[in-house]
Amino acid sequence: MLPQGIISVFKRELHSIISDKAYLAVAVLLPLLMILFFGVMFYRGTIEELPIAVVDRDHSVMSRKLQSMIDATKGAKIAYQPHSMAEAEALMLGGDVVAILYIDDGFEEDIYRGVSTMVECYLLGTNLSTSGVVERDVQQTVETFSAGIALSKLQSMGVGYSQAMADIMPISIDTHIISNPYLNYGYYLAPIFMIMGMVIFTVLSSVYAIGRELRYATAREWLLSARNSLLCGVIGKLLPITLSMFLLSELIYVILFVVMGMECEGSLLYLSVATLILILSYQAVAIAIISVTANMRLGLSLGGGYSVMAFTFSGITFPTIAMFGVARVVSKLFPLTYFSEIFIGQAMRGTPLYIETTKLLFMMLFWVLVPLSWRRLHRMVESEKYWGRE
Amino acid sequence: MRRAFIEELKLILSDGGAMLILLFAMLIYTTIYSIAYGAEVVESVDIAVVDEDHTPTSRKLIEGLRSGPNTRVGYEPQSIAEAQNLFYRNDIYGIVVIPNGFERRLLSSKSATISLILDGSHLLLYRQVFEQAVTDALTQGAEVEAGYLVAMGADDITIRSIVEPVRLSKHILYNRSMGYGSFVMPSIVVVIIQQTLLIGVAMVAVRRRKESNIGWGGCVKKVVGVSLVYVCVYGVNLTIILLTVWQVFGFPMNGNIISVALLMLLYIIASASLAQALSHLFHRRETPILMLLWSSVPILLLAGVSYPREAFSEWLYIIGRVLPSSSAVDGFIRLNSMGASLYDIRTELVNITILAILYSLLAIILEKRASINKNSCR
Repeated sequence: MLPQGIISVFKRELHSIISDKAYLAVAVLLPLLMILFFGVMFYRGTIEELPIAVVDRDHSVMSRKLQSMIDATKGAKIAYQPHSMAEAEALMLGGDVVAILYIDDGFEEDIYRGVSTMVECYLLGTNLSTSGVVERDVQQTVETFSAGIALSKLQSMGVGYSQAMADIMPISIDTHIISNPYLNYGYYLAPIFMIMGMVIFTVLSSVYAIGRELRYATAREWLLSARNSLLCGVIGKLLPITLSMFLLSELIYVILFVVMGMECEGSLLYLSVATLILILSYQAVAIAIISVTANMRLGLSLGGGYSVMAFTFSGITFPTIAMFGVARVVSKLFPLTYFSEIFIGQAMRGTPLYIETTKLLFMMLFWVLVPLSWRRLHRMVESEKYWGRE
Repeated sequence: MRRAFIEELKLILSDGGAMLILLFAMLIYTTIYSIAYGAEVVESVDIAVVDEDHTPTSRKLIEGLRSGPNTRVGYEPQSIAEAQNLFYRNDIYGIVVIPNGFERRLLSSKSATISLILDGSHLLLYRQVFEQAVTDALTQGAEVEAGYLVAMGADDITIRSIVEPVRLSKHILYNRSMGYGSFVMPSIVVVIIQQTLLIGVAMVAVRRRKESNIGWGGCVKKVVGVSLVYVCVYGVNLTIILLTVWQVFGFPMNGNIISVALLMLLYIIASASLAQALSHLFHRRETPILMLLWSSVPILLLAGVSYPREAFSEWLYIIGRVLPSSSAVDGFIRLNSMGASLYDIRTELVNITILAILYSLLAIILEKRASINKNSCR
């Protein structure tokens, strides 16, 4: 059975959560809202039908055939057919198209004359997500179109169909994608966005839970309720948040693996354990932050900044391995970095568990922050000079 | 108005927490994010090649993959199982398998197949590896094809017209290196302006709201005066960032300075007045951080740029338009990164202007109401 001190602080904390609207919001309501938001945001998960402009100066059967092939791809949709490049560029600057395709006069003639010809594609470099999708689809379409021409040319030279195919494509590529096989952006982004949301609120609510006792000078009451044991006080206080966040993380997994239809390749149990360790690591960071700052508002600013930034450094958007050396080092300072590797390993790749263990231990290293900040926390709770600071 | 201006400035300067958020956070966050994203391009991604063929032809293909620039052959394991283990350990992000008989098939003019095992769990890495492997295989394939045609006695022009009848020539506009930082940083800096304003202004307002009995004129002066403070503060901040961080990291700056300044002026007014209106919700100085900090990432997504609008529901995108940041992100990238004119971003400009007016009116009305409530309390 739990010590009496923990139980009474736990009850006192539940009461605070219910009676303080701001507390209830950060510990339960807002994280829930954020998770649902990301669920809706990434539900579709594919980037489709991006609007492009085609400037067709050739107006031939061939140029129209190429256009309809491009229009039929998943990624691109021909939204405009301007008469000149100037008009097309105005569309791009106006934000109406993400790419311009230019087919020059003489396109068809070159093909019939047996001269190598060219199609120009202008991509919007300021948006990597859209230009990546359009580039891939346009590239593949032009290659297919080109291969079709080569094929008929070879056949007209008297080469048989299967030999002609082998001649055109001597080296063919057989692609297997072993994790996230449909290249779904939702599966790739939603999990870590949701977990990041949970992490932000873990830190904010934990800093707030301890900070409010100092801010409103109720630290003595808190300690009294813990039977004068700071350890019982901290455990009883942070436990409701741990539980709430853990339940939210399980909800995240329900949304991902049931609602959004993601497959879990590895162990869901292991993932849940890792999530619990992640929550505890961020709570340890929160204890350190409030102890160092001894000021709730400053603690919230720093804690909030720290947890939002973890997302950037976790490498899910821009990969850690490509970052500058100094950023790669900084990325090690966030438990989320280790967790996102574990998540990808378990949810998407089915990585053997023994490989993941080191990462789990790295996350646990953050727990050391608790004993390190303990003395200072003790002093703050005991001494009135730390209380009432805004 | 001058009184409101000076009073607000004093309130900011007398509160370390507000100073941190309103004066310094923008510079701090922008610098840190730029360090994370500043490397711009993903190069030399480690892959493994399992060469079962061990012939000059297979070595040549490996050489191509080795010289990159997108990939680097970090390992040449003996078996696929070994390669898979490297993959689980995050040592490599893709595996190329060249099967036994690769060269033999090519020499006897049969088509040979190589296997590409890719990781879709990180789409940026996936793209780099895929592109490199496909380019190298196609290049080598084209050489082999040309060889066959020479053997058939074809001339140079015929060879070219068969190897590559239609070629795609790609041009990248406005951000030639396709840098990641150049792609996301403009959106991030715009969102940071709004978010620090929402939190900081509310924090200051909790201490400010002590007066009562002000007429409509007083309320107007107050709201305008306060907004002006932030126009100055953020104007200076943004200038510093564009002159330092943007230059150091080489982020695109193709815009007309006056156009950019006009857009940002409207945007800061819209955000500062929205912040003033929202500030009436808070009565304690810590609640704005608790309630608003989380929203930065969702708001960045709602702008529909870094995560394109075509990828999520139209209604979500439309809801996002009530935030000044959504139009400003779009407008700022087009003006400053792409060099568009004010006419090109007219929709965004109109939208931000409407929001600036609406939110200022709302802030004035709420200010008036707050002063009435104060009276009735007494």
